[in-house]
Amino acid sequence: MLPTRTKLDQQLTADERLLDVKDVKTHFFTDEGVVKAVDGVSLSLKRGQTLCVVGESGCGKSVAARSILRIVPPPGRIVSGAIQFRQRDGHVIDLTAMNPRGRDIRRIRGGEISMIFQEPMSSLSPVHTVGSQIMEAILLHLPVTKREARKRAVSLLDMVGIPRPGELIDAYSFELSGGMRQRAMIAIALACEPQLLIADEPTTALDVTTQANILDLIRDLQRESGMAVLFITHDLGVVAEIADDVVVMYLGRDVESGTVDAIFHDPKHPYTRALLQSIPRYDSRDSRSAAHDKRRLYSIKGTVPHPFDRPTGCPFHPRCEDFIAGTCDSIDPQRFSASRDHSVRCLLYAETDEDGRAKDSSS
Amino acid sequence: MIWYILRRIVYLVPTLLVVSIIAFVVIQLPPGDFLASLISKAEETIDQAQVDALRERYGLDEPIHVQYWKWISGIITRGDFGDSFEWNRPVSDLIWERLTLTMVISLLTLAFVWILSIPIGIYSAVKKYTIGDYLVTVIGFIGLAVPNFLLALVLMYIAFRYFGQSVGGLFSPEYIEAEWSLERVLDLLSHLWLPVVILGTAGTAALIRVMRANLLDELSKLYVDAARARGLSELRLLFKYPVRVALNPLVSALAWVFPALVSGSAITSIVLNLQTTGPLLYRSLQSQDMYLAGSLILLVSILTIIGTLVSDILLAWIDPRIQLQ
Repeated sequence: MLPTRTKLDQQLTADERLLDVKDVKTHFFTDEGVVKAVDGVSLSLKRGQTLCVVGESGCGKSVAARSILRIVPPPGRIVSGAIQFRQRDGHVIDLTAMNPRGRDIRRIRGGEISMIFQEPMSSLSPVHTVGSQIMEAILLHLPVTKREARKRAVSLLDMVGIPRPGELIDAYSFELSGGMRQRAMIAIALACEPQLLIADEPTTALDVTTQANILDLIRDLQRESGMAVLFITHDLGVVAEIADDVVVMYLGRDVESGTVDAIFHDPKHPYTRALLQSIPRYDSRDSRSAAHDKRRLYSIKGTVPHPFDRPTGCPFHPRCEDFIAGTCDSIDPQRFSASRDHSVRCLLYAETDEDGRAKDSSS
Repeated sequence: MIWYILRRIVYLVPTLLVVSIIAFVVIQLPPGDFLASLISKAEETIDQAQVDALRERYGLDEPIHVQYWKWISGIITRGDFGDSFEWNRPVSDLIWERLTLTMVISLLTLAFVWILSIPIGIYSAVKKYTIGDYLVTVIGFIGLAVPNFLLALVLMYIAFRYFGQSVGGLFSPEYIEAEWSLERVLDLLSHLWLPVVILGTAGTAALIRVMRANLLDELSKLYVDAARARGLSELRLLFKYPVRVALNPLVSALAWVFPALVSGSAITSIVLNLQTTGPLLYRSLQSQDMYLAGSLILLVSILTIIGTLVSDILLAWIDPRIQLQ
């Protein structure tokens, strides 16, 4: 299963990729049936780059992110695919081949790849101080004494913009505001200077002003440290602001991926186009006339299907405006490349690019 | 913290006062008094003059607040709980040894319950919906459902039939009236396991369920994922975060577990013929032996209050979210 290291090295050095997720499938084996939360996702991330994963609630964004760190909760399990990660020492490893409870993956977690979560309210322990949790991360991965770890924790808190860090290091999470807690979480995540930060909707639970502060903070820290960021969100405004590349997910798979310019200015997939159309605008000509006409805001018809009831063919076809009867509901689309670094999983583009089909087949 | 404890101790005084009044009033509530129940049980008729003499001697014809004052002032100033009518002995003579034994049994039972139920509860939660979990759950429910007195009878039979132990009571016959000695202590220990297991079974079963439910709640919290995501090993993670938080409700349960063990074990104690406070309280209530009953109720209440205090202090100590103001 696992390709040899030299082969992997060659594959990855080509474009200095840090992370290469290849057709990962993570399924949940429940009593009621198999939930295919992630059903074939590919994405790749270069050093220092920001990749945004967007999609509706329940499309598998979070599970995909957790799959990378191998912290998918049971009964979930990665059933196929590969997650290649270039370690700091240059070696490329396949994270899916690791024991999720083993020492190897634990060295990666927090040391090379860190994660921050959606709800800062509950991602800190209610009965431990903020400082003890930062120091825990430091002591797990760096060869330092407790005293040094504490010093480092204070400077981390200072770095993420927490006032009076020397005092607040001994604060409990309930003594901090939501924004402060997320800053503390970021401090924990950055404690060991990871190469990759996975941010799972880190601003969703925060108010708008705090959101902007946290985004600025992540961007500044990224610029200083050169780490890559995998940013999961459903907020296209955030995507436009921070992303280099974008992956659009629908029902557990990447339906379109490309640079932020390609996705916003030349969206190919009907789902991506529908998503972009459903953003309320106040600056464009459309919306001014919309205000006049009192036109309703565009929304995608239908709802996300029940996980046990996945449509055949292209999973988006029941909601698609460009649905081709007899084709879309029977053929599962491959990835077709629309241009360099821009691929789309939609049968509308099947004929237009034979090359892409050959180069980038998904299954 | 010290101020918190001191303040709580100061608050104890009015609470205890109210509790003592209630205890005294409650035992006066049933119609009649000790003499009435004595007369009703007596074989030959007691003439009225004799009854009046007794009534005056015991102060039963005085108003209730005067009786209460006599009783409580005796306790506070002299440690004198009054005399038991039925036993014709000072109440304090009757209860101290029984109270000590009750405390010993209760504390041992509590330790037994915790030592057994916490690890099993953790196992059951971590391995939820596995065969092990189902097994533990079934055994737990059986333990909950079987009445203590029935378990007492069965275990007594087993202890007697297969281990040849003298059953019932806390001492072998030759040690019952003996002075305290090493042999007597060892004899006590060899008898103690039976009541401890019997009294602890239901509590263990209940606490396994509580621990399992608490821990399951905590295991799905995001802070567990966050700790895992920073590279903590599963075992250290489990004990440092979710188990630690899941124990808090158990500590607050201490307050009600303790008095329940002291007073709730009456039937088991009668079946096992234990020299504890339960059977004594039961008898004294039947015969309206008011100073004895009142003193026992008062002491159980005091234990409850102290149990609450101890659990509150422990909780304030282990859970930083509790404000000390």
